Amino acid sequence: MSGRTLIAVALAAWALGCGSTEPQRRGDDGGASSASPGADTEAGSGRKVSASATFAVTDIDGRRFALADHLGRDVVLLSFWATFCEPCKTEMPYLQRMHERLAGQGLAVLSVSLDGPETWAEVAPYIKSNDYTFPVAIDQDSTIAVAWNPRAAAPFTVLIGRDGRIARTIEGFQLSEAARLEAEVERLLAQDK
Amino acid sequence: MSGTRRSFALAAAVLALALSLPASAIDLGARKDGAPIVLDVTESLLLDFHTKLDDPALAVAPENVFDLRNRLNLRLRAGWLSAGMRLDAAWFPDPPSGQYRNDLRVEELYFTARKGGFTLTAGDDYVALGRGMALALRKVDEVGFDVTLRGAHAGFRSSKFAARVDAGITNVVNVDGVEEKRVPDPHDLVVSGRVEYSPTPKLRFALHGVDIERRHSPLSKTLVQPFDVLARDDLEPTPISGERFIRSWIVGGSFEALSLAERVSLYAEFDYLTTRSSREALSGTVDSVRHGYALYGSATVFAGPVTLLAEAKHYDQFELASTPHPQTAQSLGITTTFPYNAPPTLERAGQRIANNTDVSGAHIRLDYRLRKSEGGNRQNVFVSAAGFLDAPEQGHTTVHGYAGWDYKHARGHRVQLQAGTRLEQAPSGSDVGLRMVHLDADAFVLLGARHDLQFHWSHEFHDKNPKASITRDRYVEGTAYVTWDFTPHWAFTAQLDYLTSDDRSGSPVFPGAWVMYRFDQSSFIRVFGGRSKGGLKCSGGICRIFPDFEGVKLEATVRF
Repeated sequence: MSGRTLIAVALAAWALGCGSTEPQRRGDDGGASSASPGADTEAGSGRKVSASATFAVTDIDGRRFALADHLGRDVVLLSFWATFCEPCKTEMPYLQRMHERLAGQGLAVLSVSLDGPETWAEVAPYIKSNDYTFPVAIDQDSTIAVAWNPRAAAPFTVLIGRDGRIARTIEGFQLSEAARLEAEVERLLAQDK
Repeated sequence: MSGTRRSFALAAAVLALALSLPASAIDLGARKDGAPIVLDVTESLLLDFHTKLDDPALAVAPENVFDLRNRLNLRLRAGWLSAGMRLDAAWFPDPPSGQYRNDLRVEELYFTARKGGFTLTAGDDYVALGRGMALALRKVDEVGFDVTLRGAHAGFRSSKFAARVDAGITNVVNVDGVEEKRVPDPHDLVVSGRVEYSPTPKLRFALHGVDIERRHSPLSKTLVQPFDVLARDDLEPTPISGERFIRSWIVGGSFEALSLAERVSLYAEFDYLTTRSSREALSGTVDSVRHGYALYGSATVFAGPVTLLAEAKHYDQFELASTPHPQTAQSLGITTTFPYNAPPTLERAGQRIANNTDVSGAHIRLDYRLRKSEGGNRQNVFVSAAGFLDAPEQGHTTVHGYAGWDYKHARGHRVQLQAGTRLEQAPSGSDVGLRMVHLDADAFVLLGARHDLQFHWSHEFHDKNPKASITRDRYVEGTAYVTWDFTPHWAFTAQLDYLTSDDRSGSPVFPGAWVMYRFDQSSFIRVFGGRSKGGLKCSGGICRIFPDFEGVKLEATVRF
């Protein structure tokens, strides 16, 4: 078999394999409460967060956020962003709305800035000028990104259920998916630990 | 087909087949103590078919060049232990020059133990001290740089104290994601430490020190040689330009106050650099010592709807970077060097900057939040102004002002507009200089439950050397794209780059299109066809020249 044929076979297998990561597609209604079977599978058999992936950071207001304090108790939403990322900024009003509406029910939002040191000074002004009140931390030594988002993609979201299992990871942000994310959070909040 | 090519093809096939296994294949059970053992996989595949390869090092642009690059990130976790690996592969069936080389290597490898406030890592890790002025070994995706420190790392953090010590050799991503050429590791020896004290959660005092020894010294060679087996780069005893030894020390400290009285945040940092070098000349060894320093400060004031950011910097001979690899610089002409620090620039994101090592400047930005409408719509406006001395070079001055408006509709739509102007002036009597006007627009429109549009346009008008008749160059440059998201699976993008500079040959327009298919929300495949513009791109003061692209490319990312 030639190298080119091998590559072609590999690509075909790879593509087929990719499809297998989502066993069934979402329903056409797009309803988030009836989240896709793929999503259910992810949530049901999602990997439990190990101790090595936990972290503690000080946010831009000097408050401490320790992931371990929330695991197994709250639904945790980690949202990676950067000041130069416009889709990230478009997502933030949704994060704020979820934070305002659902924090009391057990949602813990942490916004993680992937900005480099040269733009750290602009993180707090952007958050404050938009009146966002969820915790925002700067991943100064890339510890959080290395553990959760090794490609340092932005926007990038990790949703962790009350059972301490990763329910969903999302790269990118599409406006038409935002409502689905919000409903997924509500569904996880309704689940037992 | 050579044995090497066959082995690469086989490796790619095995890799792809392995990754086509269902996700459940990587659930690894639990340890005896009940801690789960899990394997995280992030797999990225990049295929390029260049109908015409843009490489200034080649006299004739090669046509129909194919390449494959693959990045596989694996991370195994069990309780407080974790181990990770990044496996990189590159395959060029018909390499256009010796700079493009097949490669298969463990690019990053680390073992981490984290318990209580302690973290110990053996292997590759990123390191950034303070605001990145003293040391910033990290990933800068926008310009394709990814530098880690391969060695030993120890950290401790409590509510009042934090400390970190790192020692190792610098390791870069060897298959360059921008030029696709194989770049050798600098293998510079770095030792750094930082201690922080926080009397209250809102105050932080820190001291740090860094020692960087370039590869040419006997100490560096002695320490690095045993580890070189990982990267397979030979140490070259013949130094470039006779420079045998370069060693830099940085000592510095910082102070940070976070949201005092919910109104004010402050940051200040000072770093002092000493660089000692030895050069072999005909007259014998010539030793030299250079000193530099960097001072940076920022203040942010929050007052209801008003936010004010003021920054200032003064950098004097504050340059810290790797040196070219002696072997490949001479035999292959690869002279890429990597920055080891990233001092704040005070510039807008992506601004092209020629000098951030010998410069003084100040920046002020005022944001104002307008009253929220009854319907829930929000608006912000801002104005930003910056001025620099000795920028872009000694004796020159630069001023830059821009303003913007950001509108967020309650339903999710968003519009963002920015416009500004920049003036770079040479000393009187000189013809050089630059006038630039820039416009940026972004819009996000929700069309329905499964449809949305994203639009982006950035446009710059440049007038270089406006007082010179021969070297004057007036041109426009920009990028525009529109993306239609048909969620959950599809996205279609049409884009147009343009550049009309006299320095460029060929068509000034670069049309292209992307089609993306998402397998789920974190795994996708996308295909590009057409042309895209290269040129000088910068991120945070780190700049490099990108090649143009013409052809078809495929990118795919899968996460398990």
